[in-house]
Amino acid sequence: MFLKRTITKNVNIMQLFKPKYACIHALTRNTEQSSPEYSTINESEVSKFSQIANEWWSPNGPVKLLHTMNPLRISYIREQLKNKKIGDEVSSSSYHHHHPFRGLRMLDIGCGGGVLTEALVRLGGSVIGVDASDENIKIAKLHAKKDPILHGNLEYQCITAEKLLKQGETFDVVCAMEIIEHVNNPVEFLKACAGLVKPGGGYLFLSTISRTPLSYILTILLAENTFKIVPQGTHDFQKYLRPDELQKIIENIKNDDKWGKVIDITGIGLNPITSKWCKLPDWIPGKFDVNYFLTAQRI
Amino acid sequence: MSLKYLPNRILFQNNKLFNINLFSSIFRQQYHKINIRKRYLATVSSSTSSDLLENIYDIVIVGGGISGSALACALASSSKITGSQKRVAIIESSDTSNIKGWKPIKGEFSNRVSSLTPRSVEFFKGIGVWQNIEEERIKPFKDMQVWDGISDARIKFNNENTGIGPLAWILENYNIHHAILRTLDQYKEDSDVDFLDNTKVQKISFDKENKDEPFDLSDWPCVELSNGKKLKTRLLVGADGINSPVRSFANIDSLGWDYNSHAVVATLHVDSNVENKTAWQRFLPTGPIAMLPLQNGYSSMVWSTTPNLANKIRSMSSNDFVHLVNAAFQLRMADLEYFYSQLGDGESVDFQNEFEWRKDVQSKNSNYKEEFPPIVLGVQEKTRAGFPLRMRNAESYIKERIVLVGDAAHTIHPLAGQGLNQGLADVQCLLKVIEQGIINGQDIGDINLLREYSSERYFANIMMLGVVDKLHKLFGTSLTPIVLARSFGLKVLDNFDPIKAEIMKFAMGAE
Ligand SMILES: Cc1cc2nc3c(=O)[nH]c(=O)nc-3n(C[C@H](O)[C@H](O)[C@H](O)COP(=O)(O)OP(=O)(O)OC[C@H]3O[C@@H](n4cnc5c(N)ncnc54)[C@H](O)[C@@H]3O)c2cc1C
Repeated sequence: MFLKRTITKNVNIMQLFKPKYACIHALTRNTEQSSPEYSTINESEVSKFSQIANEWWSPNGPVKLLHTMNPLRISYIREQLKNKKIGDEVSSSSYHHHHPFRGLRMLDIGCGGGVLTEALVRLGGSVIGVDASDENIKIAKLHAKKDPILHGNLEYQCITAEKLLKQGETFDVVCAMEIIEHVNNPVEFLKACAGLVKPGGGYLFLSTISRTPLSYILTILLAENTFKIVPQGTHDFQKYLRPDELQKIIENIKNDDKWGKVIDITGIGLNPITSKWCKLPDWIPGKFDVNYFLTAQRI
Repeated sequence: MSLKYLPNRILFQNNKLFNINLFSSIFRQQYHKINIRKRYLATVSSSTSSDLLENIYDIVIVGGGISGSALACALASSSKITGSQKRVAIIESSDTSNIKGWKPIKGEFSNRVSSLTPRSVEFFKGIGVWQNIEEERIKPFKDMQVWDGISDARIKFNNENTGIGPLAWILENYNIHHAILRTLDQYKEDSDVDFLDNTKVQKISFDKENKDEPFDLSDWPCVELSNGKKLKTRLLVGADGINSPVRSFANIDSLGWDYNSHAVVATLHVDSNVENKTAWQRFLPTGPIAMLPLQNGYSSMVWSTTPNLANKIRSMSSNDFVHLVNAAFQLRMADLEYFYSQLGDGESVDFQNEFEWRKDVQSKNSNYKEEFPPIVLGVQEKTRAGFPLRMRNAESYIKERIVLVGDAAHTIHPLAGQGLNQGLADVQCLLKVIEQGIINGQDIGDINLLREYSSERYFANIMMLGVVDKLHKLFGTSLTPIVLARSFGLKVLDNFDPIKAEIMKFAMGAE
């Protein structure tokens, strides 16, 4: 029934899966001349998330899936940063086993209620969490008070990536997890994120959903419509980017020179039996077809 | 850590915390404890009472029984816990000086003993406890015989030639508990565990009025102690036994029933000419009687029976008791019934005589030569004691910031000697989950994290509770068809090694 309805709605469903570079490039050129006030913030998306702000930390709430994904995000970031160079210092020299992010200045873009942000601080990072929704920031600040250990190494701001960039901020690590699929213009947004990464080895971590038939079935038909694991309207399929598209966008970014390169893409999946997220092993054919992580490093 | 780049990495100008972290990494060993407190203190404006901060913990364990102490010790042994500077307190209402000061006395054994599965022993080795166990008071056994009181159908487990190692190890609870507390003491320098004994938890609540500015600890459990202190904790562990105050606080129901039976324990003197290397258990219609080897010449008894019989068994004369036990292990049911009928206040027969002639007749008439446990010669003074037997399982093992382990979560019939082993498996799993949470930067009181513990342990414990309860019920009947069926079952099992091996693995804690 759902399938029928959606098919009639999107008359030519196959068009959804076509490569997006063409239109993306058009967009990029377009917005380069756009007004300085331009923001990639999608107001309806922001209000969507503001409405559930109170639910960020409820154990069975609509963002439960994010909570269950968080340990995997963290272990992914840990793994990618392990023994790698950041800036002119080697992170392994400051690599403390128990606080692996100690000494790193980190930015969490689209921090929501602070699920990822808090974890980064607990592992030693000095973190700024930013979100376009004031409601989210309020909730995140309230929640941070519940854990004394976060005090002093965590700051929240209701600000956009673009504004932050204008202020000339840079960070060793910039995370934009599960956010690209919610912004207006992913190319502009990614440029801002990339610009916030410290030149000379800083890292950009992204995670999003690929645009494939499988991801459509899993994230929209099943997760939103049939099983209602996440609220209906959480995702907009048209905004999903495939890993190759995302990689191309990032590697095409130019600040004077080439910005940097993608150094890892990892497909992840939710094991329906254990309800745990895990990295998908290489032998799985469609391992990049739904959720994936991406790491890029600035030159 | 290179110093040169630190200043430009500091995000916030007033970051005292950062300096303290640096300090602590250099002087970690010596200043470890002071630093954790400083760390909290440094983060707070001067208006907050330092009293409160002194009493903030990451983990508070209520109950210093074997499960609770083992958890404290496991946490203290873990570099992930100590490395991330977690503050732990464990609170025990009783005085533990007798446990700390325990020394084995030759020829005397405590009546409370446990059989530890290989899995539990491995766990103890891992956290450094096994090394502190009094070695001459460990009795590993490789043989076990279980038989039916009515039909005499028997199943023998023998690990002698399998190379797998012992089925289990028998130890006095004192020996285990003493070793745990000693190990905990040895970790004192490198860990931050406060052991508070002689201290009772009087009340647990949530402090809804937020007086902890700049923090908000209103959803941290607040534990009020008999010494007047109030501890606030990120994670509250209930290791406080069957009537768990933590469980009541968390409003978690515990489901189950009381068996209409009591366990009588005693330390037995047995024939020292026989090599004491087998665990024996006979299922009588009133409940199982078990004899566990302690040393040549010494065994421990656990006899589960009706409350009425249990009382008589505890209070009868030592001499009669000894022969009643012999009868319970060696004579047919009809003979044992006769002994029961003689238990009373009035004049009774000479139990020794009765046992000897009946045994004599039985062995002359019988054409099979079954093995029996060594003859009991005496009972150690003051070791007979009784325990009501119950089966419970908490409706849930977790709530936000609360977790139950050991008997607080589940209580089992002792017939399979699994209660403590289950508690230790809980502790082992909880340690793993907490460590994982630390690695992933989670708040270790977060219910999303604790779910991993409960999903693993709930299923395993329910399985064990179910199997043991069924065994109890199956053997608690004299109905002929059931006796025939179960005897047939035992005989078939006894000849079917692959299944026996599976049963052994299950009982050994392989899960
Ligand atoms: C006869 C018998 C034989 C058994 N044999 C075996 C065996 O062979 N193998 C085996 O594995 N298991 C065996 N068991 C089971 C085993 O003894 C228990 O499972 C185990 O002791 C439970 O340990 P625990 O630490 O969880 O609970 P407990 O030992 O009950 O410890 C709870 C602790 O919490 C403390 N406490 C409670 N309330 C408060 C409060 N308000 N404030 C502070 N402290 C408090 C208590 O003082 C106590 O020390 C046997 C049990 C019985 C009865």
